[in-house]
Amino acid sequence: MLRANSALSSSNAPAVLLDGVSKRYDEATVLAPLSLAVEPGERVALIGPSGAGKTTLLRLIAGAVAPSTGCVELRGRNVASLRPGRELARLVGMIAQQFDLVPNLSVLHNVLAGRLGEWSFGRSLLSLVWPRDQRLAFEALERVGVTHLAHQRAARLSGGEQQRVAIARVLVQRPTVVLADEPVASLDRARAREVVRLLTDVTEEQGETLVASIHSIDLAREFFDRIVGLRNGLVQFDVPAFSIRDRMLEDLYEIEGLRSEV
Amino acid sequence: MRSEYPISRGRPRAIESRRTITLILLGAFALSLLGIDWSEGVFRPRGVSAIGETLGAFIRPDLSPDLLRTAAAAAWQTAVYAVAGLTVALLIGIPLGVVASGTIARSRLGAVTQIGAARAVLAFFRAIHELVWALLLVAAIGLSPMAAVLALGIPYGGILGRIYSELLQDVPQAPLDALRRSGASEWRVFLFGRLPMALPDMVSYTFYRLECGIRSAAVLGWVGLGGLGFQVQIALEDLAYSRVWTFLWALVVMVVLVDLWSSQVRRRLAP
Ligand SMILES: Nc1ncnc2c1ncn2[C@@H]1O[C@H](COP(=O)(O)OP(=O)(O)O)[C@@H](O)[C@H]1O
Ligand SMILES: [Mg+2]
Repeated sequence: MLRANSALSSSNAPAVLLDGVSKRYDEATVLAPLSLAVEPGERVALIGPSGAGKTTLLRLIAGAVAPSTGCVELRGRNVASLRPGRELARLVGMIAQQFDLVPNLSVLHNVLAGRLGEWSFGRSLLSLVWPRDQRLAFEALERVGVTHLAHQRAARLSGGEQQRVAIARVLVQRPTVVLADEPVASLDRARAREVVRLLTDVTEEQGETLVASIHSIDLAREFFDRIVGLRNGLVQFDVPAFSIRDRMLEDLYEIEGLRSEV
Repeated sequence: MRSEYPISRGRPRAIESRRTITLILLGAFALSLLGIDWSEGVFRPRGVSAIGETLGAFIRPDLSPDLLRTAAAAAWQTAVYAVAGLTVALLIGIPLGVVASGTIARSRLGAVTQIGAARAVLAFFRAIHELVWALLLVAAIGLSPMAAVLALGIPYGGILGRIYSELLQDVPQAPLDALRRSGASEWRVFLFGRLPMALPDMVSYTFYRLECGIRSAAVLGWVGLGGLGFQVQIALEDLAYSRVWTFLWALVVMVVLVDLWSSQVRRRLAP
C-alpha cells in the first residue's frame, strides 16, 4: 500500500541523473561539473570531509538549489521544470540532520505533514484539529517503531526518536527518491546504526531510491550499495561499497597543508 | 525555483542602527533634563503632605461592605470592557497580523505589498491612543459601551497585529523548509509550521495585552464610560483616598488574576 509514485515517471530512466552539474556561489566553485546516475532502488552513500559539497549536491537533487551549469533529472524529468510543491514532493523527499520537525506539534501531526503536498487547504486546516489519514501515519510510525510517541510533542523526543519521526514523515510522503543529509550526525554510534538500518530498510521495502550523506564509513559500507567520495567539490571515487579500499579513504580525508586549512 | 538563500534578517546592520538609535535617545533624554526648571523644586510644598495622605491610604483602604460591592461591580464592568475590547483587538490583529507578516504571499512582490499595506493600517490604529479613540467615538456614537469596546479594540488590534506579524516571521526556518520540501504551499507551511511555532509567544503576548487592557479600560472611566476609573475619579474629587485605594487594589487583584491565568495557559502550551 505504501508504494512509491512510480506511475509518474518513465520506467527505465535513472532515478537520479546529474549531467554536467556544477555549482558556484559568486566566485567560489562549490561543485565542479559532475555527472552521476543513480538507478531506481539503489542506495548511494556520499562521503567526504566537511565542506566537500555533500549538502550542496543533495540540495541540487532536491531542487532546493538551481545548478550553475548542467541539469538534474529525476526519473527522466528535469527538476528545473517541475513546480515546487506537490509535483516535486512526489519525486523527491529529504531528511535533514536535525531541527527539522515542528517542535510544538505532536509526532502524529509532524508525520502527517508529509501529506501536505497532497491535501487541499481545507483538509489541511481540518487536520490540525482532527487529523486525516491517521491510518497511514500510524503505519509509518509503526514501521519506525515509535507508535507509542504519536501524541507527544516533537520537542520532547530524543534525537534518535526525532530522526525516526522524520523518516516516518518521508514514508507518508512517498517520494521515488529519498535524500538524507547526515541523518545520524547528532546520534551516538548505537543509535546511528539503528537509524541508518531503519532508513535503508524502509526505503528498500517501498522500492525507493536512497542517496544519503554520512560521516561514518562503516555504516556506508554496511548498509549502502555504492559509495561516492567527494572532496573540494570533486568526485574522488564512485565505487560499489564492497570494493572500497583504505587507501581511497586516506586520500579522501587527507589533511592538506596548513596553508589551505586556514 | 525557490530562492537559494534563507531570507536574511540582516542582524549586523540592525545592531548598528540600534546603537545609533540608543545614542539619539540618550541625547534626547539629556536635553529633556536640561529643559526642566529645577530651581522651582520638583515637589510643591503642599504636595509633600498630599503624598503622605495618599500613601497612607494605600495600606488602609476602605473595606466597608457597601464599598466592596461597588468596587466589585465596577471591576466587573472594567473586566467586561477589557475582554470585549481584546476580542475586537483579536478580530483586527489576527488577520492583519498574518497579512503584515508577508508569510502567506505567493510572490516577493505580493509579500512587499501586503506587508506595506497591512502595516500602514496597523500603524494608523495604534498611533492614536485609546483615550483619544474614546473621545472620538463618544463624540460619534455617544456614551455607550460600544464606544468603550471599540476605543480599546482598535489601538490594541494595531498593537497585536504588529507583534503577531513579527512573531510569525521570526520562527526557526529549518522546519518550514522541511514542510516545503514535502510539498506544502505557503498557506500550509503557515498552518503546520509558523502558527504552531509562534503560538506560545502570541498567546503569552495576548495575555500581557489583556493586563494592559484592564488598566486602559479602567482609565476609560474618566471619559464617563463607567467602571473602576469612574469610581476612582469620584473618590478623588471627594479627596477620599482610602476609597481611591479600594478601587486601585481591585485593579491590582484583577491584573494578578490575569497573570495567574496566563501562566497556567503558558505552561500548557510550552513545547
Ligand atoms: N549558500 C551558500 N553560499 C555560499 N557558499 C556556500 C553556500 N552553501 C554552501 N557553500 C559553501 O560550499 C561549500 C560546500 O558546502 P556543503 O555542501 O555544505 O559541504 P558539506 O555538506 O560536504 O560539508 C562550503 O565551502 C560552503 O561554505
Ligand atoms: Mg553538510
